[in-house]
Amino acid sequence: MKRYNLLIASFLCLPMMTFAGNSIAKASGISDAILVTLLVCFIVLLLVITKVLVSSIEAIGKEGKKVEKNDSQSTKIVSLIILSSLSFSAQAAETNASIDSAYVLSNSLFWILVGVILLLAVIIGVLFKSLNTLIKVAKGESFEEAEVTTDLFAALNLTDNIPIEREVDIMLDHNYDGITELDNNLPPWWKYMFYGTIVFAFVYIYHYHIGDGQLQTAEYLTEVEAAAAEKETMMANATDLITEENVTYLIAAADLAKGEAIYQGNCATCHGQLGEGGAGPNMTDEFWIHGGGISNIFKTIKYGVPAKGMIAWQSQFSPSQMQKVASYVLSLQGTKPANGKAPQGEKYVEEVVEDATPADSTVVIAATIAE
Amino acid sequence: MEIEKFKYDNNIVRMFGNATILWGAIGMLVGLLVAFQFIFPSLSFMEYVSFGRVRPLHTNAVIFAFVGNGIFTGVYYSLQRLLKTRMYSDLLSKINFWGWQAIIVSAVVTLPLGITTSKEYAELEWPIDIAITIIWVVFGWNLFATILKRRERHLYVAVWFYIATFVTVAVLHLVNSFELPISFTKSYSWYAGVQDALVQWWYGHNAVAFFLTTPYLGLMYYFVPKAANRPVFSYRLSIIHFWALIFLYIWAGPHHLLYTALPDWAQSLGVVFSIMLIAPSWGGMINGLLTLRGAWDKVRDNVVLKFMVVAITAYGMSTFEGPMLSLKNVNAIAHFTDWIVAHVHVGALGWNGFLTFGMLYYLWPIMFNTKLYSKKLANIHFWIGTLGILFYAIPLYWAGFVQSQMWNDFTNEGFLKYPNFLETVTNIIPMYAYRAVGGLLYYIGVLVMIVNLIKTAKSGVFVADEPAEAAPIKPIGKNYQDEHWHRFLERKPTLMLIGSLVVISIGGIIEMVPTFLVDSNIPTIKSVKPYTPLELHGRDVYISEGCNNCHSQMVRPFRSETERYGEYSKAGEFVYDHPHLWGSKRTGPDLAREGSSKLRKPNSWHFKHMYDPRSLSPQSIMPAYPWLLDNTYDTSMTAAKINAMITLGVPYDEAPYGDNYAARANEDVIKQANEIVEDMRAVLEEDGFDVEADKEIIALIAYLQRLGVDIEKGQTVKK
Repeated sequence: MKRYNLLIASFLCLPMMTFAGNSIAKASGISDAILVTLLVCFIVLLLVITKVLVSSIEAIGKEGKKVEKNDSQSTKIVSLIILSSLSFSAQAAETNASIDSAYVLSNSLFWILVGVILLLAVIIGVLFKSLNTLIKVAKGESFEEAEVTTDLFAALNLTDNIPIEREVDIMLDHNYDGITELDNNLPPWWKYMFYGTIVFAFVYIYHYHIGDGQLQTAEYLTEVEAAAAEKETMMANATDLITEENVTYLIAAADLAKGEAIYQGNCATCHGQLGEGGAGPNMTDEFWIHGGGISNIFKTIKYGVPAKGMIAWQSQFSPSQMQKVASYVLSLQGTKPANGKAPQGEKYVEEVVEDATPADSTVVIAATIAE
Repeated sequence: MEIEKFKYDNNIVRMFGNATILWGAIGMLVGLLVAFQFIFPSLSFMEYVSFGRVRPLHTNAVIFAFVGNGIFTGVYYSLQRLLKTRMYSDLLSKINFWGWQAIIVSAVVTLPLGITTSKEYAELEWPIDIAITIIWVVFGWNLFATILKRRERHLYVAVWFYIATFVTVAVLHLVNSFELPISFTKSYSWYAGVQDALVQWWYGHNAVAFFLTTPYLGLMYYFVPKAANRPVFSYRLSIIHFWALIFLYIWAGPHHLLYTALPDWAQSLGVVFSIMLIAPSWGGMINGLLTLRGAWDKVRDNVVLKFMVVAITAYGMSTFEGPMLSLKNVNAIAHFTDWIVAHVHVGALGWNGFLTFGMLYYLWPIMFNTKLYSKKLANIHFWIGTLGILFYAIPLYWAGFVQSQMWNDFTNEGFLKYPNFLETVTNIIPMYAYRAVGGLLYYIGVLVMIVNLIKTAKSGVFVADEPAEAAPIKPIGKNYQDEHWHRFLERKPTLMLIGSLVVISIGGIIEMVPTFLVDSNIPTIKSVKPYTPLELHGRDVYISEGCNNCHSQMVRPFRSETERYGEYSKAGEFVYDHPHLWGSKRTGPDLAREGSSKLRKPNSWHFKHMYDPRSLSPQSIMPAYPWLLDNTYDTSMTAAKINAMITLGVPYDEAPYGDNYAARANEDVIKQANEIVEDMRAVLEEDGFDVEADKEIIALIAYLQRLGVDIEKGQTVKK
């Protein structure tokens, strides 16, 4: 069994290493150097495996022990070749990262290739298993004894343990208060998972601390830049951007309902659920500290009054959301809730009533909402 | 061969077993209270049962009282049998027992009183820390002396785990508990900010590793093969996974601090060592489950094995999930959410809980020389417990994931979709309700077990001293030389102890020493200044009320967080924070920038919000803190606090403070407190509040309004 270890380990490394190469080359796609290297690996692998198979089968007729030795040597050679070609591929990927992206292999094709190679690894595993059975039969064991099972998982020998019927063979002479111990092999899947995680550790550290993986600050800047760029495009395309200059009082029930939702979630905590005031001033009387009317209210919401504890909301709400809240606040005028806070600021009188919204309608709408 | 006759001490096992059951019932009941406080915040109706104080009581009770006594139960039972000897000293056993119970009682008293260090799973104050050290040494002494007088030449794998547990817990506890006392009930962590966080999570993570995992693996290695009557699957696997586990575990602490102000290299070490931990952790699971090869038919009707199989499976799941949560992109989603709470409860309820129950169901019939009173009741316990775990974990996984998505959701216009944090909380309240139901189911199972065990005890006769016999160890013959090196180690307990110590020290040293010594790891920020004395008092109120149990102070470098809270947190901001208060869970919003212009609220808002959060935010689940309006902060401690901070390196002894600031600090306290009172007096008196400058609420407001202020000043200067 042991002679497979190196081989399978290098198979496991393969996708890992190529993945590392992949992420290194991500910036400019995957160069065809990887493709070439992978193909080379592939062919070398096939050649060497054929060689191993042939030499093993040749040796079957001869001596068992000799076979094993030959076999393990050639396995080592295979592994060495694969490993060295891998390091070549990683290097190639690195050097090619900056090369013009004309020679780029598509991502899906890359993964198909990796998939093919993995499949190949499985097939080779099965082949080796069969060979092993052949060798055992040649050594004189009966076929049933040698051939454990034909099922694929068993063929891959994932558990590598001794069946219960034969566990006496591996029973150690340990006995602790009646507890005995078997000397089963480490389950190969477990072992290779362990190796895999160790390889992962090196690849990870290389990627983030030697390669060009983004650490958290860089990652953050990328994220913020992308968002800023997106916002800029958005702003450029926006034609009807609402500002304190052009904001209008919305009286549609749907808009005011949206405004109320935002108000209850964010403003009520200081200005009261009915606008009666609390840590912040009363919103229902006609006295305003920073001016009444839709434009002033919008402005106060947008820029806040940080010195007095009023937050600037422009980074949290879009202009249209602020317009809706401002409109809702304005709609509270004259509702006279219980426990209203004493008036603060100056009485505000709308200077020019251009669009002549009748004062009554405000009250009507406010009353509807209060219901 | 000469055979010696001796007796196993079952009495100490029964004592610890009873304590396990008692504290389990209490600790889990407190857990239920905490779970229901999420749905009914009014359950935090007085200061002593307020969430921030009771949550540490729950974690401490379950970890150190329930699992702790469970460890002692299992160790005291299995050690004697694995070594073929009685415990070294009945007196030490008793001191260990009563000392440990006294420590738990002191925790039950001090934590609700708000006496806490705020460091998670190490909340107990310094006198109790000393008591823990003494009792742990007593345990180690008894353990080791028993090992030395054994009649079994080699140490079984369970005993390796016990040795590693003893050594590592001692190291963890000592290093993390470095603190400077200022009174009998108050101390400050020796470490500040980033360093404190690193030490804390090196400790916190390895408390999970060496208190909740390694001793329980030891118990598994004893009770599973005993109950199944099967040989352990692989001795080789035991060796490899034991050493790999204890070596790798120590390094993984920084995965609790991903995307924080901890230096990148330390974070990366945390990630890769967590990933490498999968296999060694699973080694234990494989050895446990495969030991049952050929005994699976027994699992169907043997309750002990049933519990243990679920325990081992839960262990396998959470030790796979843990490393996955350590990957940066997964951690970015799960950290600070209920996902983590679900994760730890799969471990606690599944692994520790079920293994303990299995062990108790195994021990009681043996020690009382009878049969289990009712298999049927035990089966009910098994199913209701399993159901409880599922009801607990699944809703919280969902809650954690959904809430995280809401935190990160942006509108097309580039604004946070849920700028109001509360909205993301109210959305998952139903999940909290399911979780509480899950907890309730699990608890009912425990009560069923208690009835069953009491009935079992009554139906039998307790065997206090169980007779046994074994031959003493013979001197080793000369032809004993070609043994395997590990076999050699197994008969040299002192070497094993030293070996474990060396192996577990490496990771901690490599991560901590550079963080402490290399300046570039914590770049200084000039505008960051020490807290005012009133703010220090306020910070202690914050600690005492356990605010850090629900509020983080660590803005991660994500757009969704900087949009919500402001600039991300920098290492240099925390240099005067003894201890750090980064937190690990956001039931409420982050507070690192609470005083910044972006988030600053009026003083009067904080006052009213503390008095009754629901008067301002009707759906809030934060507890009310009316007692902060009545309790006064202790100005007689001001000088001691300033002097302690000077000792810890906070420059109150330099300009602009001048000589002997400690003596004058109270002038500043009074001045700042009066300013705050005057600022909000008018608003509050209108609502009928009395506002007095010497109340805890004033200090707490001062502290909250300071958070995030300094770094903003720095930016203004730069511009």
